[in-house]
Amino acid sequence: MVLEYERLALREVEEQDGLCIVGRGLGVQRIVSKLVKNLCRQQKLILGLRFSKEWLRSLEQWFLVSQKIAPHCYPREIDASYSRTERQSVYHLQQGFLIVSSTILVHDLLLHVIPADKVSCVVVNEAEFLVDESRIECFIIRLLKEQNKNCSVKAFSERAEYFTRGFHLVEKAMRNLRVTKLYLWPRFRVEVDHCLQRSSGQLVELEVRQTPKMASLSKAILEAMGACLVELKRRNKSIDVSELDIESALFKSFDFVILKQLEPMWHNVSSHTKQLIRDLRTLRNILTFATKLNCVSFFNFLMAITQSEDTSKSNWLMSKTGEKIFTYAKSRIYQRKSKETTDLGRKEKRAKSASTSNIPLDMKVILEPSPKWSVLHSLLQEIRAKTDGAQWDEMLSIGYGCRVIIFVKDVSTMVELSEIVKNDKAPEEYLRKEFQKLLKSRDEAVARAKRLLAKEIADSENFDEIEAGLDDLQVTSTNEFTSYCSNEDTLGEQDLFHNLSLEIPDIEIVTVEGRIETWKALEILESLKPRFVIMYEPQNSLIRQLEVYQNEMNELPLEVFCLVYENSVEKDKFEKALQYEAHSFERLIREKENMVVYVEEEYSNTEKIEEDTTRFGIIEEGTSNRTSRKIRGRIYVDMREFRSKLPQLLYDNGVELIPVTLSIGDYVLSKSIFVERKSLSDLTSSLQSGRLFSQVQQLCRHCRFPCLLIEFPPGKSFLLSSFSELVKELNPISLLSRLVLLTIHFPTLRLIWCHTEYFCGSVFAALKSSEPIDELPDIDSLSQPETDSREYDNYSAVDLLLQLPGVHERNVQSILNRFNSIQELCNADEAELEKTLGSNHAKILYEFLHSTTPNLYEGQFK
Amino acid sequence: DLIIAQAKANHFIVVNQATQKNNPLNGFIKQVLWNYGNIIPDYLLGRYTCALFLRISQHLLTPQYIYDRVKAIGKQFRLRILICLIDVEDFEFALKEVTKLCVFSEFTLIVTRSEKEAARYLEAYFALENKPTDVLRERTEQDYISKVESALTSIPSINKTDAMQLITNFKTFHALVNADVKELSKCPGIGPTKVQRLKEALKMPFRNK
Repeated sequence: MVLEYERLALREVEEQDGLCIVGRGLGVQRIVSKLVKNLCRQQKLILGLRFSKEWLRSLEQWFLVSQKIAPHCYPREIDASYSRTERQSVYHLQQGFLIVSSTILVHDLLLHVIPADKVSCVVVNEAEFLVDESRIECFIIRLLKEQNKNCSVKAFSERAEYFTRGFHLVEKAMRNLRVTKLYLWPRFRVEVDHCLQRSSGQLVELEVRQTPKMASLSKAILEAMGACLVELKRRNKSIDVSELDIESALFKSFDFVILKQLEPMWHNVSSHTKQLIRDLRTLRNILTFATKLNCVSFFNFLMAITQSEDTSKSNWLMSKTGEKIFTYAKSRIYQRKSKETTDLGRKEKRAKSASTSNIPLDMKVILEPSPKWSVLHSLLQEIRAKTDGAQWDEMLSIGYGCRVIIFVKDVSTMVELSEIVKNDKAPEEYLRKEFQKLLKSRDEAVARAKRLLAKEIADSENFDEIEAGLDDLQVTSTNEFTSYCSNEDTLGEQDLFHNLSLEIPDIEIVTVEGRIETWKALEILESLKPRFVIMYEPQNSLIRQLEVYQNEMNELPLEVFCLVYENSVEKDKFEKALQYEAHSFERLIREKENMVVYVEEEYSNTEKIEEDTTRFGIIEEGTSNRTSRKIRGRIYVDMREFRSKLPQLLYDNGVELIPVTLSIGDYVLSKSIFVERKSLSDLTSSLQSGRLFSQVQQLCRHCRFPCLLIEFPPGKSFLLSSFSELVKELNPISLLSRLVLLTIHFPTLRLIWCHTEYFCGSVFAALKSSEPIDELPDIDSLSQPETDSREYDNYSAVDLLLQLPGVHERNVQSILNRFNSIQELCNADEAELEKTLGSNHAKILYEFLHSTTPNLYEGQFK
Repeated sequence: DLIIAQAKANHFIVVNQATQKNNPLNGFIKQVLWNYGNIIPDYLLGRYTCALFLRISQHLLTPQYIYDRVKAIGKQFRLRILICLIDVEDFEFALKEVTKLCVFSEFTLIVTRSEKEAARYLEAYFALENKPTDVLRERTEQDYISKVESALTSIPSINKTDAMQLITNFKTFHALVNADVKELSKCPGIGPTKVQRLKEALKMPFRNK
């Protein structure tokens, strides 16, 4: 069924190309699906950009149901597994909905493999990303529009707030999309509101009280954040503080705002300030998890945080508030007994230890359950009472599918709740299991605790007994652990987005995790048809989807319960997010009023091009008359490079790109100029691993002007060493020294320093234009031999492989030939590794794979 | 000339008396000895190495200067360095020119934003001239945690914190690689995007066929 406002929105966008921004959860996917379906029915070639796999799958399902569409028009995903000829044959059908992976699409457009003039429409999902003109999708649209002016573009987004994070972002996005119309569909629009108000269900918000410890934990974290903010303001007088209060610090957009402010002077920003920003980010995470995770997992999480943080730099970790955070987190798990009670308790414990499992002796384990659990329990009981036998049969006959759906935010909560809802006792048991798992997994920690404990009380009394007690602990916990594992196995490998059905009939726990897949909730609702819905955490897109669902299924009234912590950050965040979205829409509406509408013709004339060149801050002689894209030469570009922005900027500079797979360098400008591009982080790692050395060696052998392009992130413009490093003596293995050594060893190596990709693009163009003859070397001499040509498309796996100890440039080829994936490599036994790697490297790798993490918990059980 | 001979024997850096006399940069050269002398380049950093020094602000005023200097040196040394100090905000055009000049006149360009770092480059070139390239070829020893970190963070969207969460939850790299989707997403902070990326890198085959 299509709701009234959906139909209106669809008609608008079908009539004229445009960017359609819909409120979150209002069903932009349904509109897109409908649009795609209508287009497919016309048997034309349609391209889709930024569609996820999940999306595609459900779209396919949908197509299967409606039989009006010929099977060859079904959506099809084209990735690296298609060869060029295969792709060509698909394109030449000239119909259907194709989702081509971006790099391949760019390749095909540049080489005219795809008949651009036959593409009738491009549907862009998640259009909010196109505000950034250096995105590959913008490049695609640009290429398409250049080759086929009549190709229509329809773009959708449900994240209004992305368009209001700067000035004129909507206009920018629309320019990048080459569309002139903007359609806004916020929740408060009359048509939407009118449509959704008719729903019959009701929503009950249940406020759950936090335990005092939880409340003080959140308070402590907020305090730490406040302290960081104050410090941040104190140290950076120049930043505009009006936007930076503790409330905004709760959102991810805070990082964005502050980075935007600091960006122009980033090279002058002290490392202390950078650390403060990082700290705020970490604290924000901790804050979210403080209410979300149970006490044991939260503690575990904190410990891992301490490991990844640099304790000497972090501002909060060693401070008083930081200590408070840890104390509260710990106090939710256990308390140290005072001296007297220990003596008393020990006797009791001794009696107990036979029956229940044991815990280190001088602590009293509390394991505070999350308050929402008990509320959930009573809620479920209430529901069970309401839907007793006969009543339920009646409901089934009306069309209900299940009693309750519990919506949670992520998989970990889903798994947790599936344990919790089993029975009354379950929460405690679950926590105990988790705690023992934590103890067990820290064998060393236990051993250490044992030693420490023993030492502590060796002089007092019954040393043996403690020893025995602790051994006991280890044994029991091992058992517990294995039983837990087997339990896990029975759950089996389930698809992430599937729900967990439990022994208790008709309760489904469902997660709609992730940013893209939130729309799945509606699908789930439609298929399960529940009587009750419990929202374990408030989610605004979910509420909207429930509204939409109720409207569709008017005959099946629904009761919705939403659990939210009273006076908590969780609640604040939820409300703020709603407000934020509404504000964004208001701003967009105002912007729409005074928007300068770009007329189609403008794109192809000089004005646009001139603006392009001025954007680089550099106007070159002869560039401004690029009316019909005067081609200034050709460049070979490695296929992998299309993941970065540079190729597009080169295209902007009037260079014809030829995508190939290069074995030497990343760009070939001419017979004598080859360029290897390294981002700063890449440079660091490849100088360390020795990869750069061999790459440069190759480069220097093959051309006269081998160039190494060093690309700095916008923050670190042109500084290789930190301030503290410069005070100390010269360190022969620092990045600077390594680079110096590299240039000493290869005096013919030319360095190009770039702080932005724009600069990079113009430097390339300048180098290219000063070559007297525009000549490219023979392509065959550069591309890789046939055996290892473009077949390695899983770059992230190959990149990871090269980072593993024992793997080098020299043996990587044989590993790739011998093993299929990282997993296969890791599961190989030592003898097998030895055959491919040689004994030395095999040993290093094998040890790395199987050694356990050094103990994080040292000192925690003292 | 005695000074130059000594410099070539790697005793100290020679600073051009005529051009660099008042350069505050010299004050930052602290790790190695230096002396004024009459030389063509701005700095003499050993037998085979010389350097020119250029401020972008100076280049903007007298653009011809650096072309003359580069021409004067010609191909005299094996390694010719141009140290370019960026001291103005509007440097892009100038830097592009200098880059182009360096590529075609076979100078190695070093760009920096602080005099301190510029001095450090001089020191490094002087000190490392005769050093072997072992450091560049060999992988230096790292501790376990940083090895894991550098491996996992090579996967897009996985950051340091994620890497730590993963390795503490699974204990060994081997266990992590064999973990299924559900186990992975149980780690705090690992959302579906990251799970997908992990799956791609760890489980998917290297090649498609």
